[in-house]
Amino acid sequence: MEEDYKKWLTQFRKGYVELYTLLSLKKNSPLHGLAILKFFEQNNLKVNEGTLYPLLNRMETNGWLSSSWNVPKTSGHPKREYQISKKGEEILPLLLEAYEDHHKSINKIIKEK
Amino acid sequence: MKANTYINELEKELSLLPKKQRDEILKEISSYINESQASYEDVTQRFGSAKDLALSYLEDNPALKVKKTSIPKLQKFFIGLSIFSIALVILAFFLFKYFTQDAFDYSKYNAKSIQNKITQNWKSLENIKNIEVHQASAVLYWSQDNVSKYSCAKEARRSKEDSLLVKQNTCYFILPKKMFLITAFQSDLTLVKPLYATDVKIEQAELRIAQNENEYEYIFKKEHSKIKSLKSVKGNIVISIDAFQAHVNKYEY
Repeated sequence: MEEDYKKWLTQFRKGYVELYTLLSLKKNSPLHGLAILKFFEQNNLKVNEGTLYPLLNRMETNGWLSSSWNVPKTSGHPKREYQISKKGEEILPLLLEAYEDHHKSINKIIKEK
Repeated sequence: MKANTYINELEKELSLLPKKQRDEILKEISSYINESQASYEDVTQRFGSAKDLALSYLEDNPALKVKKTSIPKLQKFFIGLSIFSIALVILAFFLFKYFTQDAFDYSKYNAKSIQNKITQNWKSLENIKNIEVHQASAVLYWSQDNVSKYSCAKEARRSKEDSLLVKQNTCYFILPKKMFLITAFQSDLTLVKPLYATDVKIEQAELRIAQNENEYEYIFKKEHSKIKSLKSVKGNIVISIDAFQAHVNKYEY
């Protein structure tokens, strides 16, 4: 049972974490992976590193994000920073609309007697 | 265990990805580990095992799809290459057969019928006791009626009074029932159903004997030579073979 739930959650997360990521980067750009995770945490969203990093990689491959390495001039480690791309900007309203439609449908089904 | 171990494990698991993409991922995860000063256990807890993380990266990866589709292409290439090689071998086999096969099945003819088969001029072998075959092909038949003649593609000449030299030629012989010495050097020699005792001396040559239903008593003297498929039966016509660097075999078309 728990295994099935985990599998479902993994599949389910892929979609909505992509949406959250685009939203995060729309509001705060650029952000590195750890900063995105912190932003999620502040908004009560639990996503672990193992989910986020491969997802960022895929979103960049899809062209929704772009990234660049920020190398600190004095101290600290180089960080890969992400920002939403033009394609990401274009797709975000469509994703939000789809999300809201699904949300409404689920609520409607739940409320139906 | 150090966090770097995790990076090494991940590198192995991501080996399917293009190097540039793999290096970017490893650099990013290393940066995270250094920034958060996470231990191996911390990293495993946050990212999952290196294998699981690698699977997440590999999932739906377009670069990997290119690799995946390129495998069948490579297989197709090797299958094509194998088919081409096999076809080439078969072609080579038939070409080899075509160029090395006898003009016809010598064993199906006898002294009488070969005269009708070979229409080129026949000449008498009168007074000839020795036949010398040099870099040539010769097929010998024996006549029941003591016919003694030969037919060659090119002119043959007497090397001595009782010897005929066949050089770089193709010849058919019909021999009488008397003793002949046949020598062959770098030649193909075929004896078809000998009817009389014969001495054969061959060097760097191939001798084939079409026995058909007959049996012979063979006396072999050989040096650096191979003799195959010939069974000697005492009390029959004696064929003496002196072979040096030669092959002696039963005739097969």
